[in-house]
Amino acid sequence: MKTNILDTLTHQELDAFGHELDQLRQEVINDLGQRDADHIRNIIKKQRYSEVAGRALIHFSLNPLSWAVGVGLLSTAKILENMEIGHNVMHGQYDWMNDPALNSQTYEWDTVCDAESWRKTHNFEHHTYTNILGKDRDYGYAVLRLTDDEPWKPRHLFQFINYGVLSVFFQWGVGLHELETEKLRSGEVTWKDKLPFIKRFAKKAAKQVSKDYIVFPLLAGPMAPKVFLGNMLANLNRNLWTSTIIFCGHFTEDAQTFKEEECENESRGMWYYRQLLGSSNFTGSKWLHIMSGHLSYQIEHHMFPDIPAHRYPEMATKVQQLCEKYDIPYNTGSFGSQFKTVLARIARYSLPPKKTAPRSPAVGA
Amino acid sequence: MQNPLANATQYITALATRFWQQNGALQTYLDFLLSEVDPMLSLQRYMAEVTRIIDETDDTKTFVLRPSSRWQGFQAGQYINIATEINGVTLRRNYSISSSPDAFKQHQLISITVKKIPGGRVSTHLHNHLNIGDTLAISPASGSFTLVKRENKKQSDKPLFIAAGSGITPVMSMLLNVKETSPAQDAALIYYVNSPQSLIFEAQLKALTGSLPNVSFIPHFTESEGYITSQQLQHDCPDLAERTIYLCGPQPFMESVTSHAKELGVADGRIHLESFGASSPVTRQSGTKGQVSFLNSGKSIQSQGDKTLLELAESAGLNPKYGCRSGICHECKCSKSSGQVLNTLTGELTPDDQTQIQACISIPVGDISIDSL
Repeated sequence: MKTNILDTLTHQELDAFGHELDQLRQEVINDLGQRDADHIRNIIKKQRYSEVAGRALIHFSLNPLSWAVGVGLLSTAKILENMEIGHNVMHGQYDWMNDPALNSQTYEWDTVCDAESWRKTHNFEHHTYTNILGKDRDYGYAVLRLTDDEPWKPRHLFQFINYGVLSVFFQWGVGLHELETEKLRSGEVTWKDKLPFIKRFAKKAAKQVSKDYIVFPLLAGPMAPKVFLGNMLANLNRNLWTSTIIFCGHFTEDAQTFKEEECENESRGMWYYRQLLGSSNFTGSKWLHIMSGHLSYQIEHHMFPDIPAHRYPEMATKVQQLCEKYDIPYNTGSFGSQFKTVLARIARYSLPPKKTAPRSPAVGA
Repeated sequence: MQNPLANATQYITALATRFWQQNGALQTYLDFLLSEVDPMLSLQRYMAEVTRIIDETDDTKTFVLRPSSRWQGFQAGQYINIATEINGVTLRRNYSISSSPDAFKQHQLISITVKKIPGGRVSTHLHNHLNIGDTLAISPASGSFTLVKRENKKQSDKPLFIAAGSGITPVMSMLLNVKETSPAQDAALIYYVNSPQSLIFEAQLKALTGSLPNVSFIPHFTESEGYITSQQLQHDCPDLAERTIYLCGPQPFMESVTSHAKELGVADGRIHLESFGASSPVTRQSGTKGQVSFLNSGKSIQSQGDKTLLELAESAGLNPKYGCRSGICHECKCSKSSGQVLNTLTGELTPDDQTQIQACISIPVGDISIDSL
């Protein structure tokens, strides 16, 4: 299911394609203004009210129903904070506003993942080397085998269990991503090399754990257990949700992977093309997009990571037109159907590669 | 042995205090809720409410502000930084306080006097859109352009205030301060404006200097009289060499007054300057050479206008943080305090107001200084 980049488009076509996308990017940059500032502030307002209300209900609920509503609100707040606010702010989408509270380099989000570490592993590594095997360490998170390019081992039979565990503890997986356990195991890096990261991670994790599991429960006095449990459930909901959204963005069946040698001396047009082929979108309502931090527009996000995400829906129309013009596949579908293909992909690569001929390239799929 | 319960309470209190001091989520939430009730209640920012707007001249307005109660006050001659949002972008400018410290002590009011600069985004915005009842985020007062305190001398240092245009604003505050603290003080004010119509604070200045027996006020109109000369300065203030000069106005004006004053025998240490006003935007072409100063490390390097800021920093022996080197990841974001850069991705010059830039796609155009990289 892999397409060699240069098999389908000529250099000239790729340059023209890249140029048109640069133009689209510039049009939106020129138009940034009050509408975008209002959008992010409005989301922040909703997020804060739902967190305050959620925590208040968890603390003072008199029956299981109001407690459950509180957990729901706190989960929503955590999802909004991580996805539409934290993730997007840290991509530099709102740096142009000059607002110190929305600055990519100083924002710290509500997860055990340290912002500094995330900017390195996600913002730089994953967004620069998207889906390049061996360079994009988001590919399978060193946990899952998602392509025949990785040799099959018997332990992969159980990768559904690994996937479940990864999703439940997703913030810890993301937080520890910079540890590069696979390189520690192979001896490529040593624990000593990782000491500065471990210190930073420990500090952030301690802060997060003490907030949700010590301070807030203690504030509730004898009601501490229900606060502890409520916070745990909210974190669990957020972990499962973010994991699912992120898997739908890159690990659907037709999302493509690349080899390092294919991406040497890549032009801007090729970079755009790789971002497009390596990502997948899903459709849905306005609030599904917001709750996913607009990672439902993963294709647009990967092409324009520092453009305010709420602009992706309008940009997507033009990106799709360009894809038709240049005959490039645009991977999208409903949330449910995309997620099904993720599960199918995890299942397929649990098993050793079949000896039969590979599927035809996904062009036009 | 100590009561274990007391120990635990102590520990929990310490933990709670530490948690609170971390300036984390809890304060942000409290501040958010308070600000939702009333922006003036913010605990993380100083806010100020506009209580009056006074038209001084055709292009100058005074905005009377009531800062939030935590605001600490100021010394005559100091300025505040105000933040204003224009089309989603927060812009900051320094404005001298034109009112007296006593007025703040008595009524908790301060004022800034803003001249509309042609093409000036902030001054135009304040003139056109700031209304009574609006709030602004302000900084604590700062600046060292203040009256030098006498050191138990019988004879005071006689101040000579020399202002041009809107440079009168900190001087106005100092003059009011003179009236309130030492009305018998011998002082003089020389004020340069284009024409009688552009004389800011005309009525107040006349009333103020009229009520102070030892303060003289000499206005000059450059449209009819031309620019300042040594002779004029000597004529206006024959005892110039004995005075302490407080000088505020556009940079070229201050440069020429300084050189005239030195010619007439004023010692360097007796001239106090306040430089403000937006630096005029420079539009240069790519390929422009210039000096790049990295303020946090004290290093600087010559730019030929062909290398990016990241490459220049590296060749200056710095070890800046970077990632993709192609403008994607923002790892190399740095803060620019002055000068312009060319964005290689868009081919555009960054606006003067933009302070955060990506080093890997920015080519310096002329002299620039970088706060941190």
